[in-house]
Amino acid sequence: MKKVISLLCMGGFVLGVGAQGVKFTEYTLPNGLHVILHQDNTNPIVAVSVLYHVGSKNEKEDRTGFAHFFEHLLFEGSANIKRGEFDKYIASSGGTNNANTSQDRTFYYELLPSNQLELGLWLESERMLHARVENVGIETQREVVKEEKRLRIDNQPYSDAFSRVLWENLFKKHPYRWAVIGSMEHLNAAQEADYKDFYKTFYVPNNATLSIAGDIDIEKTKQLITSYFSAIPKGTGTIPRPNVQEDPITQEVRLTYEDKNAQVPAVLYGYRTPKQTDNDAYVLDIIGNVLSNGESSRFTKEIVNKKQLALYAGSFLWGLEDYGVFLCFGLVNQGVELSTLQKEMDAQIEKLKSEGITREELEKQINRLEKDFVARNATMAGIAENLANYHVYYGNTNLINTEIDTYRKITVEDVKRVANKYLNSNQRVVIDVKPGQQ
Amino acid sequence: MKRISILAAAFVFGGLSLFAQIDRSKAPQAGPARELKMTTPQSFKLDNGLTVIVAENHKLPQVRVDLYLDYTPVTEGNKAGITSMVGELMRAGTASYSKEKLDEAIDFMGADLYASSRGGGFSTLKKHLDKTMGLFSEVILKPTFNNNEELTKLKKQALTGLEAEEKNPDAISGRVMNVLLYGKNHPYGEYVTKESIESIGMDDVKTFYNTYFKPGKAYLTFTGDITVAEATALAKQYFAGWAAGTAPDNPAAAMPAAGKTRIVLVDLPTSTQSVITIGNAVNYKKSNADYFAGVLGNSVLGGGSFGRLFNNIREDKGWTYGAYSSLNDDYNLMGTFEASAKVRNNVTDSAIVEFMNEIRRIRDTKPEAEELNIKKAEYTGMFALRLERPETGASFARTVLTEKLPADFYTNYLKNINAVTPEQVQSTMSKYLNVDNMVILVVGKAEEVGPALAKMGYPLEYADKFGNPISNPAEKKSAGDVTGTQIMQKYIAAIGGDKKLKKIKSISEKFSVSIAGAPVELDGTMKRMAPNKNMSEITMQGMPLMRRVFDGEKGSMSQMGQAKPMDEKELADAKAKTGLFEQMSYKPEQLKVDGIVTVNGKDAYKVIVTENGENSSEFYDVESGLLVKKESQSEGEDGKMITSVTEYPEYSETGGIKQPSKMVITAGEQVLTFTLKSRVFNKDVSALDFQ
Repeated sequence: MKKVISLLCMGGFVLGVGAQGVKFTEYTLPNGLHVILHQDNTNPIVAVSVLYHVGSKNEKEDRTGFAHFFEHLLFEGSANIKRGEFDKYIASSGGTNNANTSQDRTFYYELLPSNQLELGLWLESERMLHARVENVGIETQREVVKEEKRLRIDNQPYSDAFSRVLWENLFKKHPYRWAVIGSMEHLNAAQEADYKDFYKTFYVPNNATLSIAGDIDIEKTKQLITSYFSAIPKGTGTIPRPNVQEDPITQEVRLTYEDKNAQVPAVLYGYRTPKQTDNDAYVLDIIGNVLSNGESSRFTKEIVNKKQLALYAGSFLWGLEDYGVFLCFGLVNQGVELSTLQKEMDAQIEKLKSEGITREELEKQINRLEKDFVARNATMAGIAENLANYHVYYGNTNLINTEIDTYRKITVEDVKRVANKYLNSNQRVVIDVKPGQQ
Repeated sequence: MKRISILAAAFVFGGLSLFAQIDRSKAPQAGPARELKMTTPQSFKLDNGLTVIVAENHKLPQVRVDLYLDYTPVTEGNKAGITSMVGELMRAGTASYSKEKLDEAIDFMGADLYASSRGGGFSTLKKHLDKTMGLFSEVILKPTFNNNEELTKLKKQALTGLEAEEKNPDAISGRVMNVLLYGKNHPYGEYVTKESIESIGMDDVKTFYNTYFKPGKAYLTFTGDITVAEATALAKQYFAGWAAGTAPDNPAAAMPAAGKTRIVLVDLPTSTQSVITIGNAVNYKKSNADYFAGVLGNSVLGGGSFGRLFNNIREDKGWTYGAYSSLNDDYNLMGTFEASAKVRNNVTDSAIVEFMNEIRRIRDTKPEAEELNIKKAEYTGMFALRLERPETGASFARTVLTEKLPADFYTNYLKNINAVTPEQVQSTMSKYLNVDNMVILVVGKAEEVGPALAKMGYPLEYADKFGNPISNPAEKKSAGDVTGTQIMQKYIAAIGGDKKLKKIKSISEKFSVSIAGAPVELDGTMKRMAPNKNMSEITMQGMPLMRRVFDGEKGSMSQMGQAKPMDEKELADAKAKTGLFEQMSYKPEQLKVDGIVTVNGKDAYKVIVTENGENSSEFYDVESGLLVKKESQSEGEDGKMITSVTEYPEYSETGGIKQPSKMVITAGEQVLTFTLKSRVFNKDVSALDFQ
């Protein structure tokens, strides 16, 4: 009987949201795969994406780096796709593809001419059904990931401070405390069985969202999706998700980090903030922009342009599923002491806390957000990704049309309250990054 | 109830088995390609000559506006670099707005408004279009050019950028290739220098603006949620007042004659790999009948990761990370064909052989139909993907006008691509790839790659980093019967003479140190005391970055306060020095004269010095006798050999003794320049300095 109900659900519902909104259809297959479809026949292209709800926070503490490693491993091929051929199928159709991993998710997408929709479905269903998780590919990708770490982290200024040091100081219990790239020792130590187990646990239809946007026919696409995906068995185990509360930070954590790649000293602040679905997270997003988005923002105007203390000074909210991190970052200008720059950054933050912001400043931010919000849905790849994110993180796919309203409700009083609640020096981690050996 | 569920179950399973007819074992076939819906944007002219193009797309409530000035390429001459500054200076203050007010107003709309020497543009939400359009017209029509601070900032940035490129093989290769193909007085061949940037004044920028910012050959495009009527009204309101006029047509200097295929080698002694670029100038335009055959032909040869060059030189031989070619059309002057790769030093000649083989093959034999079909499919897909952005439609419309193409050029684009035959590919490629008149440019280490290149059967020429012909920088002339000891004696005499030098017991020097491309200025200190104590230190704002010290017995090297004692070999090297001026203590058997070579355009003796069983090279100017360069090999962190080169381009005199006042140290691509701030002899140094 359960099956019948699922079948009926497959009929789905189409949500119309006015002339300018993004229309979509969503439903769940009996095996748990959530499907979201957006039809736009303007151009003959289609974006096919799969979001797996697994990121570094789902890893075991002695097997960090697995989620990101899988992003690479799952291009190795499948029972029906020879090693190294995954990309070739896409390139020779004129398409492009890529993938990325965060603390919370792993995301794969192909952008294809729309007459190749089926190719995209075949590739993604092969990846989900029987990807090659075996030693030969594991060995190859271990080297690739090590090279990526060398390139992106070990040889980039400030990268290790941003992606690892900050997090291990902001989080003591939650798995956000380790870097997404993880530990090469863990990857080396892991056996084939560990990898197979990770694949079986997380790469299952009931942990995935298939989001497709572009030149499609909804009914035909549904049939194709059933053909390619419905035979993929549902995962049998429960999917581990951390449920960990951090203790509040009550005293400033201050440390110095020597960065062999850096030529300019820098300072990095991190404040632990609430999860991205919390209303206060929206306010913090605004605050990040007030401080540093645009030539007329406070950090840029006062610290970079007027006082010329910094080559760059920025701030932004890194929103995540369980928590967030509000970051400030400053690179000193020639001949300026790092402490002088810090004092000025602190003064700007304190000024915002004591005086708040003007209505005009808030309006400016809403204007900018509104524009970004529209622009994010300018491409099929953007729409496919946004639909999947809103479904997985917020449980409300239609936020793709309505999220801006949450921002519009924010008042200048909210900004002041939230700044005073989270942006306190005794609740933060401060890292002085100095050029040198590490 | 039961009946229904059985029925439903039957449907489920029946349905599933029906759907399961797919064959997973191979990739599904592509469906029929859907015809591209391409709407032709509207265009019209204002009275002052400004052409307005409107590409409607009402999907999202946003509008993009771009202004493009279609003047012919400008020769910047002794002000090279000016075009990169015009736009930012327009954006730095207008009749009604200071830079700060302009920033505020632009941010308030959330518009990313910019200006450049070719026009400018912005994107905005529909509801802010009118206001943003007002700001844009201010920037384009009423710049005041009185923000001198901004000019100083831009010049400083340009100089920093230039410095960062000094030893960058890609930058050198690009610049020299343009000089060789176009000539250095041609708009596409000229290059920016320190002098040209320094000479740019605000008046030059104003003159540039007044000459080229004319509506006559300008195109204003609107893309997005806007109607033709709305666009017309806005264009008139904000740009009808732009005084009519047309930018002058610029004559371009004649290009050098192509000549026979030859290799040009630019010496970069620190290179471990060669940058190879092979090409010729082509009269290739979109309006040429064989344009489409050229697009596909190049794609077969070297387009992306499935071209022949990639398959041969990377996949098959493993000599490079990537090998590609491009056939670049140009409607104003001349385009280029270029094929390129970066390869290890020792396969430089072999890679050139493979490049030339592939170039000959695509000229001499037609490609297989299958190979061409794969490329057609790839191209068809890519074209569709490009069309997703509404801006593409607008830029197509503008290209049709500026390049005088038939109105249906882009609507027929794919049809024409798919109609290309293998025969057409062959004839087109043999027309444009002038295999007998090509430049084969190699930027690399002449000493290592030169001898093999000389044997390839092509004339081998040498050029400096700006494409000027020079004689073989690695070529050795005979030094006659001069001995190493004589060279050292001449050097000692040149810097002050035996008598004076012997009175020197210590030297203390301070330098300012700059790292090419990095914005920080560092301080350097060097102290030396006879016979062999020495200390060198680099600090940043008083904070020690690096310190090396040797007290005659023991020594250490520290970075960021973490000291590491010298190992045995380092100690032996340090102890071996027995005087402040090591040339005074070189023994005849340590020195071998290895001919006369050219260093920075002047003859210099190359002397190989053997110390503790290791060789380094020192170069002494034949005329002045001064040491001008030192070269040594050391092992880097990853076990690779790094060549480090120290040049001594300037000397200054203190108390009758000449010592270098400038030192340029190059290790890999990193360049450190030491400029002397002060030097004293026999003062300011004590034994304590070396602990």
